[in-house]
Amino acid sequence: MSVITLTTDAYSRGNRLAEGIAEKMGYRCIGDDVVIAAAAKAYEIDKGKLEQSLRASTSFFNPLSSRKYRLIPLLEAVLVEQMCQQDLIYQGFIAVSRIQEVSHAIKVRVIASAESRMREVIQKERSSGMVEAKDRIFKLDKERQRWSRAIYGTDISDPALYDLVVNIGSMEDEDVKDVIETIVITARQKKFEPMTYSVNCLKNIALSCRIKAAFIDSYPKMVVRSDKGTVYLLVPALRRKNQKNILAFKNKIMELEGVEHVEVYVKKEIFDDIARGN
Amino acid sequence: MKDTLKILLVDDEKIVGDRLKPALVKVGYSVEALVDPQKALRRIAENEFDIIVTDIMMEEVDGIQILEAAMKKSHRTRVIVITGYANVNLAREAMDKGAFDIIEKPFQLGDLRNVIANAAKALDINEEINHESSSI
Amino acid sequence: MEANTLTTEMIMVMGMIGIAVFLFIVEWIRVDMVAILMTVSLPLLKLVTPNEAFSGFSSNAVISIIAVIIIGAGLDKTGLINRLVAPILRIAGNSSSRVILAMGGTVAVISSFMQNIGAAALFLPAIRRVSRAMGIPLARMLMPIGFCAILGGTITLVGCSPLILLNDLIAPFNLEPFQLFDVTPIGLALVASGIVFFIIFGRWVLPQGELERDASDKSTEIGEGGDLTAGTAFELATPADFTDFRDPLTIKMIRDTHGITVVALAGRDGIKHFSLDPETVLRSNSTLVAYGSKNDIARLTSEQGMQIKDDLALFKNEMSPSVSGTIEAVVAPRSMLIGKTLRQAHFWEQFQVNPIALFRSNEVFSSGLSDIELYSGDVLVLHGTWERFSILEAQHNFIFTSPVQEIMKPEKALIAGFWLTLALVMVIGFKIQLSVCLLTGAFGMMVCGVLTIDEAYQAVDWRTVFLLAGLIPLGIATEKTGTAAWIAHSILDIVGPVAPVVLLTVIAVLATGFTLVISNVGATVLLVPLVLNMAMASGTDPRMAALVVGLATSNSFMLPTHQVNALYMGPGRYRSVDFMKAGGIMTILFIVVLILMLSLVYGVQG
Repeated sequence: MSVITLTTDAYSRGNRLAEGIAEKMGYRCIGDDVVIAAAAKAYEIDKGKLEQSLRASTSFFNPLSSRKYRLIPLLEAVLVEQMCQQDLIYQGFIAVSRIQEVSHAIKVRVIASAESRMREVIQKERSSGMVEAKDRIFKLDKERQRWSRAIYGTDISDPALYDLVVNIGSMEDEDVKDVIETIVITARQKKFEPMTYSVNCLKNIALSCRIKAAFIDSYPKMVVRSDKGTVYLLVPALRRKNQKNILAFKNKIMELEGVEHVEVYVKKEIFDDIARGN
Repeated sequence: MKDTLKILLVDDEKIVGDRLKPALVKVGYSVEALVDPQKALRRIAENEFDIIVTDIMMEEVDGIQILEAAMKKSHRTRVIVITGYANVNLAREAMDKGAFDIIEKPFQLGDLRNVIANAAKALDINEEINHESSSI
Repeated sequence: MEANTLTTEMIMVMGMIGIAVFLFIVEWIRVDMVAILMTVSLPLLKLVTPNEAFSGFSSNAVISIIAVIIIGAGLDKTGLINRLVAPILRIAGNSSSRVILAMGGTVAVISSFMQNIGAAALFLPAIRRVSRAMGIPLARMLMPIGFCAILGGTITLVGCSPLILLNDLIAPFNLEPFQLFDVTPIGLALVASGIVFFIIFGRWVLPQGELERDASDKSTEIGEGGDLTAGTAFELATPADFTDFRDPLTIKMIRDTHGITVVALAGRDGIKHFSLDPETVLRSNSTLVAYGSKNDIARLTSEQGMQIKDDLALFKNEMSPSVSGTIEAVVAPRSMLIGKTLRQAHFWEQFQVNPIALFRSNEVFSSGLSDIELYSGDVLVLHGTWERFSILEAQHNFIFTSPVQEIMKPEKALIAGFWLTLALVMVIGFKIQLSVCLLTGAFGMMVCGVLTIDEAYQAVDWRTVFLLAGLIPLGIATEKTGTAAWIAHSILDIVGPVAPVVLLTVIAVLATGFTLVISNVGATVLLVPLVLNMAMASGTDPRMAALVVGLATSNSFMLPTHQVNALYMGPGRYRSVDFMKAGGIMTILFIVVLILMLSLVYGVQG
């Protein structure tokens, strides 16, 4: 129901923050490991493959290495489903740009200065010096950017995506406590309470993700919009003339839970108009 | 034992009142449907409604103003905002200003029925609390 | 006179007979189940040996029946029958009497070596065509031709189950078996009398009937009480705000509240759906095709806020007469739909056509169709594509009263004809046992690909097989324990000596009565041992007595209990009263002609 997403860069005390907030608000705390485990079970896919999909592809010139990105909808489906069912705080990057329109989903970004992060690296890894730490942070950030560009077409660190951006400063325990406090106070505001419209928004997103997840191999380029059980699909690959194919496809989608009606489109312009509600 | 719930419907689209009013009356509510938001403001000043269902996008007076007027008149009133142009900012603003719920247009009758039922339940609980505190 | 002692065994047998008769009448369990009950309980009660109990299954009767059914199915597949219609019509010319003569005669001949119901079912589409082409109301044609199908079963020894049974039943008495064409003179006389009766008296005993209008004529509107078409097709559209602020409207609700059937629906994405689950919700920006009267459609659109289009637009192609249309389909005698509702049979998913109305006797149902239990003979008005109807036709759940598809395997017609002829030659010329000849014919047809063995299995009506096989032991028990003899003697003791003609007439009346309540096979199996004893004790030729039973059990015209009557009742819009009127007279006529012919042909003394 109530949702807080916490996006932090590597070595920014993200875990501590998430756990702290969860404790104070009585929410469940989940991270990517939980999402991967759930998706592996639900879709019978190897965990390792899912983990791979969360890392940027290694070679720019090798298109095959980005095939693993097609597994992302599985993770999104599982995560958004969880969001519909319980109060939770999620620490990670998945689906954050999908839930922009959901008014009761509070998107929080926590940033930290490079020095604090480098100190964190040295403390944790014990093997590095300042230079290695800097390199490490730089590399991870760059990868994260590449990944989010590839999947969501945006830079995940863009502040416009978030409702609250907080600087954790020097990452002392005091700082951590302060940040938790700030986030909790913000989250308790009336304007972030769930309401019919926003709950429906989230349910629609969950349905769209589930449908996309069901067809990642056959129709990876399909665009899905849902509106309370009515599903709009843009499938450029499907040839219009073949009515039988389309009907069969529609029926397959109708079998999925929560789908009451399906409309299939092959032209982008018409689809955009309709999915936007015109 | 309970009095009939008094509902005010405000929407400048005639079809809304035309279809919703008879259906809600059938369920047992007492319903007033207005297309002129100015008139609605006057009615709110005169009368305390249990539930107000209002559109946002209207000429001269918009739904937020209705919402504020209703809150000023009585904190008891549950205001349900219906809008065809729902977005995240509008939703948050309405919640901030005291709306009970927000539904996106167009919706089916059943959706509104559920929300009104919830509002009615919330009103009941409130009444009980008020009665208890007044009897202490 | 012989000593007539009543033993416990006899009482048990009479008890079993009583139970069987009772169960046949009340129909608490199906007739074949009753037969199996007999097969199982008789050996348990030690009234017959186990071998005797199951002797029915290997009896000549059962084998012959199976073979006859297969041969009939083979002929059906080649469309041989349909080919006969055109030449007949040419001979018949323009008068309705000649048509009844020609078609009645032909169906009688066909039913003389095919199951009556098979012949009747085969002819239904042809009758429909003739009725329309010549302007003769269906009600004036169906009953006469249906009766001819029943009468035709008396022409040869394989024409109907009782006659096929006869030789097996008289064998234990060491009586000479009947030959294939021994009954032919009598049978032909019976058929002739039936035809003449209807030609002369048809206009008084048959209901008026209506001329059905051409189903493809789109400008007809629904008439009062049971017109065959179900209104006109209109294309409607729902506006963009159709579903706003109101409860969902389903296709079922439209049918139940407004009496209108929606047969096609396209949503905003333009993809067309033709077989519509009644729970489908009508959405905004949709186009649909609906069948109904102009008034009903106008009411629907104004009440629900929909628009009527002037003409079919989006669905113009799919609704064109060459692609789709409405058709009347009769629920076939062995359809898997019998006893189920459309909903239970998952009709829309499986058959992919839309039911518009249901006609049963004189009643029309146009709403609540999904929950009506179907019976054999019900007429469903269906809407769908001809492609779909062709597929349905091959499935034998429906008999279509207008031709959906032309001949299926014309090249096999000659082969089928050859094997049938060969079987007959073997019987007549070489005097080989009937069952062997027929089965040879059937086998020959399968080997030559007229029909596959699976199609043959499917065609065989196991209900009839079990009914026959199951009741034979009851007959055996009746004879073996001396029950038949006891009853016969008891009756004769009371009645005293009778002239053969009188006895035979009484037997005929008895058989007629029994066949109406316990099926022709049941009546035959129970009566033959009885009448044989009676005949032998009173000096009448026992073979004649048995023959009377075999023939008179086909005398079931009065009630629509006989399968042929049940089948024709729907399309002919007959009521039970119609059968009682025409059928009652026919029944009496039958007995008269029967006894007359027996006296003439076999010299039975009066």
